[in-house]
Amino acid sequence: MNKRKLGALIATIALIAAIAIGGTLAYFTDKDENTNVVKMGHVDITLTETTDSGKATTIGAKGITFENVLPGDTLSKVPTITVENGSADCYVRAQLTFTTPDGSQITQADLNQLKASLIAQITEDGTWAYNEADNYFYCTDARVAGDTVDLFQSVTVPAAWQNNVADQSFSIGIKAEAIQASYISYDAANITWADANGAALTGVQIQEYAAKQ
Amino acid sequence: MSIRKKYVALALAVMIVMIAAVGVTLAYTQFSGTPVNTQISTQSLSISLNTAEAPQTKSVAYESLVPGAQLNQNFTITNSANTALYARATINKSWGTQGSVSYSKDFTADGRLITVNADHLNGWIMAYEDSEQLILYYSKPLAAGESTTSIFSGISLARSADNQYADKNVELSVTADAVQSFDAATAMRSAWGVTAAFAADGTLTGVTE
Repeated sequence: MNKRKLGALIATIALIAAIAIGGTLAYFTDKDENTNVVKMGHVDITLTETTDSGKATTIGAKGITFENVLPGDTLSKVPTITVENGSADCYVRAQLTFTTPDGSQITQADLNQLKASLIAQITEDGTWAYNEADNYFYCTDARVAGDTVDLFQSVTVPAAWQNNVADQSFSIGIKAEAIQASYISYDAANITWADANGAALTGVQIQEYAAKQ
Repeated sequence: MSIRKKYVALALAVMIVMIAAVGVTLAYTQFSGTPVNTQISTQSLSISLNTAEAPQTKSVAYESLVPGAQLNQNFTITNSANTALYARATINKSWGTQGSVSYSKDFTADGRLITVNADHLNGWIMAYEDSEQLILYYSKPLAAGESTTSIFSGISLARSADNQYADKNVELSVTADAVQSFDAATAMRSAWGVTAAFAADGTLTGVTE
């Protein structure tokens, strides 16, 4: 057997030996595992409106339309915020906007009278507090799933409105928002929401939450 | 020697080696099976991952949490056999959806919004951390029956988690594994692919991938 063949033979034997021994090159090890799953909750409210006014001509998901309204009329209009089942406990706030179509004869002073009367009505029993700075009404207590809270019961058109409002129209927009009650508090002194450290939540980004079907 | 004879010789050599290898195995098997007279017993290595929380009886352990929540989680590793060992913990965290059968990870969600509170823990070395995984090594070798200190104290869900995370699930898995403390540097390199540094008293001082 020449050197080359002898080398091939030794290499073959070494390979087989390595395979045989390779299986024993291991160390004692062990393994154990634990898995937890945490489910997040959500905050979900809805805003609905009802009325029993005979002057309501359209009652839809987007609001109520009243016609033939006169100064001094009190119109039944009840915006209700409902904390939906499954929602986390939450704080609620709402904002009113008063608008008129372009070219309307209703003045800003007229709208301010209307706004003032509504602010007085909404804050009357302490359920809501008004923050003039951010123009929000804050519900002073946390709400739980299934709760409903009315913002007001009616709208009284100021009796002081003059002839300039005849045949004119105006709109009251209502926006409701909610934020989780856990780790958040209602700051009664400043009429705002505060974080767990008591600092006012500034620039709170309220995002739309689309409830799952 | 003719070509044919050379091949026969080669085949014979291979067979001899194989028989020798098998023979060793057979001899070992026979030795292990010998009753009463066995004087040599191998050590066994085993760990258990323990938690102070109640045993998990359903797929979702905590429900209806909101951003800002903190959950206490207290895991330790115990050497439950008779071989001294070094322990490692791998923590994976992710957002997803827990189905009736399995968990689907949400690859668009930000794992950084789940914080594993592993700061200021005694005896653990944080060797690796990214948005979804932490790898920690316990610095002391664990003798039989000994336990580590708590791997971490809990998790926090960031207050900045927005409505994108409503109704989502957080999956937190903790995997504990261990290698023998004897010839630990070689064992860790072989089992875990890491290079470990030790103090004279056996304390693990550093781990590099």
